[in-house]
Amino acid sequence: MTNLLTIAFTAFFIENVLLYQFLGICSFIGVGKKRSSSLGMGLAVVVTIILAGMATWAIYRYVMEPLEIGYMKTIVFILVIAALVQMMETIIKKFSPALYKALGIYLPLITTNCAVLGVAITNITRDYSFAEMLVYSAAIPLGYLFVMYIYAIIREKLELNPVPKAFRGVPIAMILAALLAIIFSRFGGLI
Amino acid sequence: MDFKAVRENFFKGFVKENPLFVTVLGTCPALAITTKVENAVGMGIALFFVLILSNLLVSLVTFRPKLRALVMPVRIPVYIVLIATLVVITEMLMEAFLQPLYVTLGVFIPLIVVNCIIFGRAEAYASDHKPLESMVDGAGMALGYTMAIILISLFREILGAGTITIWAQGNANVVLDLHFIYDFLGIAPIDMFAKPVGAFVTYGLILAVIAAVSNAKAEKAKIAAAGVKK
Amino acid sequence: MKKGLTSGLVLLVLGLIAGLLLGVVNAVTAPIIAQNELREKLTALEVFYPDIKTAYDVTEVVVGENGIESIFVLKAKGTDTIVAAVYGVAQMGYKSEVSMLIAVRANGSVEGYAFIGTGGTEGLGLVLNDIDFGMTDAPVGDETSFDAVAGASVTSGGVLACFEAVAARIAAEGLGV
Repeated sequence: MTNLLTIAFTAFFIENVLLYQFLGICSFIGVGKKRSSSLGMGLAVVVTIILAGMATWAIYRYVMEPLEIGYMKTIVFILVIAALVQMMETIIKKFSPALYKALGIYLPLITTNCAVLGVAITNITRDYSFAEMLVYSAAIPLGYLFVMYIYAIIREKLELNPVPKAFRGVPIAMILAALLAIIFSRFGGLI
Repeated sequence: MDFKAVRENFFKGFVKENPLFVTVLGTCPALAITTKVENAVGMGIALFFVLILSNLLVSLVTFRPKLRALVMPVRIPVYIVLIATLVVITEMLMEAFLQPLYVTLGVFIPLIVVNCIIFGRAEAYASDHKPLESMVDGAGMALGYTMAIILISLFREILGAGTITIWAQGNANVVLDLHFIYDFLGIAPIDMFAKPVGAFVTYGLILAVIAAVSNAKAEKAKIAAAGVKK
Repeated sequence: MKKGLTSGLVLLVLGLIAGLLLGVVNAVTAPIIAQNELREKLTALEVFYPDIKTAYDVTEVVVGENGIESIFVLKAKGTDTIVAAVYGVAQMGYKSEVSMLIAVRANGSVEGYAFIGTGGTEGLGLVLNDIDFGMTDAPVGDETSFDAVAGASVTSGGVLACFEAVAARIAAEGLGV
């Protein structure tokens, strides 16, 4: 149990997917401008990573390992993720147009979000059990959502402030991310 | 083939359309692995290999009209398979021949699959250009990107560790030790630059400098244009 | 419908080609990767045999039975006589797993042992390395030599179990193999 808690805390705060592992930075810069879009993208990523984590873990354990084709995991995982995202899009579109309106536009972007493939591969390289994999695959995207939301709040306020011309846009967003990274790096002292 | 056009095509990846500094693509590895110059060089080599060949293959399967008609309806999965195959080959070759570097770069080698630069070039360039032109485009973009991450890693390694590790794999050990500068100044290297914080700060500052320069250039052009009008 | 079929066919053919290509490259690189891994493991065994890379022919046998993960068989360079064998073994101790290397000479006595880790608890492996369990030079299955009271009573059960597993293996299969 403590083991699972450690994995969850480490994944959420210390090894935060955006501020420490640098996965999904493209979406961080692009979508993290507004609260509403960061929330939508964040939730879509949470659902996708949990589902993709389970699917890729099961395929690796029960199909690829017995066949001894573990070296093909990158290509198999990316195809699984692409198919999964496509499926999610179709299902959500059919059953909940409202949800599709909220999350739909972010779904195609998720296939190329490195956080999804990154978590799937980390689950395997760290040799996680099913429970560990599930905790890790939930804590990582929740950490993503959390940081992205805070980031969006600050950036919305920042819009109203006089930023030096050269720093407008991505540069100031990076400096802001650096400040957040300093804060999050301090969580390491807790374990 | 027009030599000048080829040259222009090759060099546009360096400055005008630099993937990292102008179009802001491929940021994840640029921030994550730039703690040492050597890592940036290794990542550059891997990306160079994948991007040239992926551009070539994408161009080959979309160049002939008959094949193009077959591929176009399913082009996204086709591109994914092509790119992923190349990445897995790179992964295996690196694990066999550059094992320590493979360990340091870790998950960022397989993540080349989802690097926006590769997919972007396939979609925006290689899918409607000739094979050779596509390869030149890939080479230019990959070298431009490599240059950019080497620049970031230079700042981070010099400031963060006080060294420049150009290549230290196997028997080669090309490391410049700059600690004498720090000794002379009586300070220690700034640890922060080796940490994630340093990645964001360095990248942000470089982008700001580039923005400042291009702003100044635009201003100058504007004044010049106005002067001509008068 | 026909369109979907051709598209599927295109993907299938492409997938097959890609799979085949990867298989070929893997066939080339896999032995080199395995060799790299073996060399890394040999570096760990230098604790017992400092000249292991030059003076011995080493083969690794993967077992995966009764906690014995793998056996490194050492033969004097160019000969066929087994000089010694190093057992990589893991057993449950109190709460966590103890994994260690045990080097056994041809006559069945212990050359030395080292701890690789104790399941998850970082640092404990290092503590264990400081404790003398009294097994060096004793026959590997000799429980009377085993000094269980030496401090870490919580894990010494696991350590003893490791020695017992190796002894049982040697009794059943002989040294090495």
